[in-house]
Order: sequence, then structure tokens, then C-alpha cells
Amino acid sequence: MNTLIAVGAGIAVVTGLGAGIGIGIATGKACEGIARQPEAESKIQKNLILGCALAEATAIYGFVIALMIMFVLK
Amino acid sequence: MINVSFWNIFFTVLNLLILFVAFRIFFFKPIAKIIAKRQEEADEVYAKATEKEDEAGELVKQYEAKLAEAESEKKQIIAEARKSADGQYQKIVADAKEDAKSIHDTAIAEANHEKSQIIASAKKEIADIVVDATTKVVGSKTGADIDSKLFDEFLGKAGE
Amino acid sequence: MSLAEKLVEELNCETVFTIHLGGLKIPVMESVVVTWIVMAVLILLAIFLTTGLKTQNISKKQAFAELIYEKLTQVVGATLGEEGKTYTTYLVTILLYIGLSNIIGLFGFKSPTKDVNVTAALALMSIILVEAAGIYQRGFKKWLHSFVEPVPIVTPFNILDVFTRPLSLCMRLFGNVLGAFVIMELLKIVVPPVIPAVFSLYFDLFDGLLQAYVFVFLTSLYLKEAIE
Repeated sequence: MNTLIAVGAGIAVVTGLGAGIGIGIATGKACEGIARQPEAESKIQKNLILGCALAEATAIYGFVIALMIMFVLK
Repeated sequence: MINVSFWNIFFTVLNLLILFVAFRIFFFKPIAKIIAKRQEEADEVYAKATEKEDEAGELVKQYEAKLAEAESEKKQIIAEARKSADGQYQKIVADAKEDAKSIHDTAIAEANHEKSQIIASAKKEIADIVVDATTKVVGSKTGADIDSKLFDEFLGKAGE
Repeated sequence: MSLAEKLVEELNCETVFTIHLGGLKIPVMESVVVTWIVMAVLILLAIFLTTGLKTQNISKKQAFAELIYEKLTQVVGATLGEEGKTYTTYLVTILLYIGLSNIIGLFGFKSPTKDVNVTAALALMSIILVEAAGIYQRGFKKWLHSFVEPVPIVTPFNILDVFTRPLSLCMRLFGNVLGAFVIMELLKIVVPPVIPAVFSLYFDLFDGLLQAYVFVFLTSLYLKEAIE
């Protein structure tokens, strides 16, 4: 049983993969945008932070679910 | 950690509300007030400065007006003086002309008078001479025709 | 003590003491006590900074206080816009509270934001503020009508939004702080002396302050959407 719980938690944490890819792409595009239009830096930065926070949320959900699986199912 | 407890949420909400109210009282209000006050003071100083500037502008205007007035007065005085001087000059010139004319006239009149007097006296002398000569001639020998001839001759000479 | 046990012990939020009010037993958790400490620090700091304010020849203390005030108001007000000026004070307070709560772990306390109840309370207050502001600014009818915009078919999602937004706010803050905390604890166990200090700069300071900003930023975004 414990092994299965650990595997479940591990799978839940895999959501971090998507968040990592998403934030990476977003940051890359933001850099491109800043390079193209340096005067719009502050706006791009703001939207980047917003997007990163939203994208990161999925990874955080995975992490929280993993913790829940570990502590609640035990 | 993950177990939800009502009292914990309740306490946190209460704490946050207290913190919010305390921050409003101790942080936001005094600072906003002091900033507003400073702004007010700055506005006041600015308004005063503007007022002073206006006043100074007013004074400058007044002085300019006064200067302009003085200028025009000066011009007027000069014009008047010039006018009166001109009049006087004209008068003097006219007087002088008149004097000159009167002197001239008197001189002419005198000259004429003298001339006529001289002519009159000359005529008289001539007449006397003629009379003398006539008497002489008459007294000596000659006839009437010679007399008249001589007389005419004298008269013609005297008339010239 | 094994690694897991240590972690669990660190993660658990104990009841510090219990108030007996009549027949009622009110447990006071560790996070609430740390919140009191955070509050005390913030309020004392505010009182200290705002004593002896002058309009001219200001002291360095006052310049600092005004700098904080103006910067924070500017940061929060930038998203909120002109209509939402009333809510700036609340959001700045929340920003300071979450910020200090996130980095108080550096001083040996357990961050209150590591307790899901605290973040739940924060998210609850945020969503209540957002909806109340919507009702107050637009009137009840228009507020109700905003649920069927832009097309009636999205109504379920709009209603769902009211619940998912605070949930996501709550879980984001909680998960981030907890994740950073777990990683820091692991680092402290695996490579004890110097390396954790370097990482704590990122996880505790940078991430903590960033999460505080993100929380306030998202709340102000929801607020702006609600009052427009």
C-alpha cells in the first residue's frame, strides 16, 4: 500500500513538468518581446509574472495533491 | 497543516481586520495627511509667490504708465514752449518789419518833403532871379518879345 | 529521528494553548500566534515610522516611511486603476502581512502562510472583498448580470470562478511557501552548513516576496474586473 501511495504522489508531482515547460516558453517569448520593444518592458514583465503565477499554479496543485495523498491516505 | 480548522480561519480573519484597521490608523492616515499638508503648504507658497509676482507686475505697469504720462507731459510742455516761442518770434519779426517800414516811410516822406521844399525854394529863387533879370532887362532896353522869349527860356531851364 | 518524521514534525501546526470560554474550547494554533507576532512587528514599525512627522526638513525615518507608502501604493494602484483607489490600503496591508509572514521563517518562526487555514482566510477575505466591491460599485442587479456575460452559456463557469479563484489563491500561496519550506528543510538535512543560506535567499526572500506580490496582484486584478 505504501508503495502505491508513493507512486501516486510521484505521479501527482509530474504536473510540475507542464508548468516548467509553460513558464520556460512564456519567459522566452517575453524576452523576445522585450528585445523587440524595450520600451514595453514593464508591461511585458507584469504580464509575465501574472502568466508565470498562473502556470505555476498547476505545479503547485500537483505538489499539494501529492502531499495530501501522502498524509491523508497514510 | 492541511486539516482545516474553523477557529484558525476565524482568528486569522480577525487578525487581518485588526491589522488593517491599525495600519489605516497608524500608517496610511498620518502619511497621507502629512503629504496632503505638505502639498497644501507648497500650494500656499506658490499662490503667495504668484500674488507677489502679480503685484510686482502691477507696480511695473504703474511705473510705466507714470513714465508715459511724464513723457507726454514733457512733450506737451515742449510743444507749448515752442509754440509760444514761435509766436513771440513772429511778433518780434512783425514788429521789426513794421518799424522798418515806418522808418522807411518817414524817411521817404521827409525826403519828399525836403525835395519839394528845395524845389519850392529853388523856384522862388529862380522867380526872384527872373524878376530881377526882367526888371533889369525891362529897365534897360528890350521889347516885349525879347522879354517873353527870355522868360520862357528861364522857365524851361527852371522846369528841367 | 528519520527524515520523514522530522519533516512531518516541522510541517505540523500545533495548538499552542486553548481558551476555555464557557463550555467552548477554542484552540489557538501556532500560526495564529506567529500572526500576532507579525502584526505586532508591523504595527510597531508603523508607529515608529510615523511618529514626529513634519512637512519640512524631514528626517530619514520619515523619508523612508513616505518612500514605502508611495512605492507600495504605486505598485498596487498600477493594476487597480483610478476607480479602485479605495481598496489600495487593504491590499497594501495584505502585501506587507504576506511578505513578512513569508520571510519570517528566516528568523526561526514557522511561517503562518505555511498553514492552509491562514491562506484560506486570506483568499476568503479577498473573494469577499472582490464580490462586495462588485455589488457596491455596480449595484446588485448589474452584479448578478455580470454572471451571464459575455454569453449566457458561460454562467456555470462564472459561478465556478467565485469558488476556484479563492481556492487557487489559497493553494498557490500555501503550496509555494510549503514547497519552498520542504526544499529548504531537505537542503538543511542533506548539505548542512553554507549552501542552504544561499538557497534560502531565493526560496525564502525572493520567492516569499514574489508570492506576496502575486497574491496581491491577482486580487487587484479580480477587483478591477469586478468594479469595471
